[in-house]
Amino acid sequence: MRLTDYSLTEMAQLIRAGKVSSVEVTRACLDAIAVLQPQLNCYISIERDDALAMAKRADEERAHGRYRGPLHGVPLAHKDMFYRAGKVSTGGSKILRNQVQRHTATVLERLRDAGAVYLGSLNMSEFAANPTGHNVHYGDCRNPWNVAHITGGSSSGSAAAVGARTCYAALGSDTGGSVRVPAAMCGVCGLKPTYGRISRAHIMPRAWSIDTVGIIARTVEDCAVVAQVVAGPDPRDATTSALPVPDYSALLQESPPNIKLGVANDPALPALDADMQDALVESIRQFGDTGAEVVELRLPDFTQFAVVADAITKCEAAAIHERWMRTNFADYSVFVRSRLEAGFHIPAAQYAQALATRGRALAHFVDQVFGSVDVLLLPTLPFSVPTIAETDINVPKQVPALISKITTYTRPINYLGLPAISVPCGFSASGLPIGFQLVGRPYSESLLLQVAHAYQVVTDWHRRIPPIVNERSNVLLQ
Amino acid sequence: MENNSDELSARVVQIQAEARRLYGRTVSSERAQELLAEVVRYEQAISALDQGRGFEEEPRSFFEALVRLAAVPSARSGR
Repeated sequence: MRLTDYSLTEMAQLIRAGKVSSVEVTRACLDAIAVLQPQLNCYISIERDDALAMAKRADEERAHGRYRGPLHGVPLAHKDMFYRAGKVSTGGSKILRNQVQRHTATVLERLRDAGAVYLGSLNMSEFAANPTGHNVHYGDCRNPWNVAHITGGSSSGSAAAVGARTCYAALGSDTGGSVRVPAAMCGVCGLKPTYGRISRAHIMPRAWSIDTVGIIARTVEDCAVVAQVVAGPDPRDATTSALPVPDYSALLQESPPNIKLGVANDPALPALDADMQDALVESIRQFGDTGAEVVELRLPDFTQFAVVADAITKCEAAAIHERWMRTNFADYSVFVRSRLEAGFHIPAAQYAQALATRGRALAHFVDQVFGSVDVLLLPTLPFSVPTIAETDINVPKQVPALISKITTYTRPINYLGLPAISVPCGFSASGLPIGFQLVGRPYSESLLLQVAHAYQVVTDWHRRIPPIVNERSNVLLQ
Repeated sequence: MENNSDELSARVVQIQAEARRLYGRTVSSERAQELLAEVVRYEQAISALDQGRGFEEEPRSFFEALVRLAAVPSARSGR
């Protein structure tokens, strides 16, 4: 078994037990990156020397009995929008290509304090504004299951890098599905927490009323480990909640709860491709076999939520980009600037109404859905992963419909601020991954992780490795 | 119908003026019509959701709802 094939949880335990050093593991990841980067283009920057220096320091600390935390010596990489003092964060854009940041994101500080090694910064959609993963400035990121296909976005590199076993987990951001969509497309797990559960201090904004930091990892257990480290209040982000963070990993060791699982039976929702439908039905059957009571229900106003979330995102993005739209118009891709434009023309009163009605919409949805079920199961995507050519963002006429279709099942959850996790549940006829998402009431991450983990105990979709990974050689654990 | 058409034409012109003023671009009539269609779709969805909103409701109510609804007992039986 290659070092890079272990899960984050397994690797953290091996390092802690002294069975393998952080330097060995970091080298294995860097070797994997060297082989796969030319084919997948997951990374915008690879920080080989700094990563090895961090790994060496982690090994020295361990030798002296100092154990930083649950990520001690584990190599991670993150979407290139989490700021680091003295370093550039491109945000996947040309405009920020040379902008050195003055502060470090709270989440990166927490990961560093827990012992994580920083391998490099990951490719992403320009300004996190595209769910396909295309990027005209740094090149398109490619799906490790088939390089002709998209990764999904905007956390394209995060999902592809984790799926390709070049790092053990990655942070991303989710404003309309940007963690869950690429996670589903690349066959990995993607946790989008409740709005306010994880700090966004010193992170490039897409739309501050909706943005969440998310976690992409190979297993639910790994998501729990990283969430434990990064979640919780932050004085630098006033929107973070003071509610205590449960011990996610410990809860996974308990017997899974008997739940009422909601599944949508709503003609207002778009139909699924046959492959997606089959995988979803099989997943529901498995939940039923393991004791869940399955309840069919309608989802009030679900499709409207997506449109209103998009309107809020457009307005806030217009405010963020107004200066550059004047001074650096040509530095945007045609696609991104065309997406930004509408936000300048939505009346301010409508924007305020879209925000003001959010609390009532959330209360109504929670009452109607989580009044009768514990967890809602939805597809992450309504169709199987398209090719890069089929989703060419340089064909502006087809783009709005495409984006709206990709995020049909994810964006409404962002409007409501609810937590969700996308979990692999099968493959399409063409061999591309399929995922479902579990959605819960506010701050129910621990329940979602428990239920998703219970599913992974009885399935092995998350253990499948893309063929491209098996074609390369790597260090074997002796 | 004619009034509606006049209003839409006026909004297309308004979008062109806003584009010049807000981000310094000249937008064609065709592009302004596309943008208007997008904006109208947003306005309709927002108005539909906003029906019945109470006078006291404001963006802060969302944060209050997140915390309040987290504390509601689960639907799980026996847990």
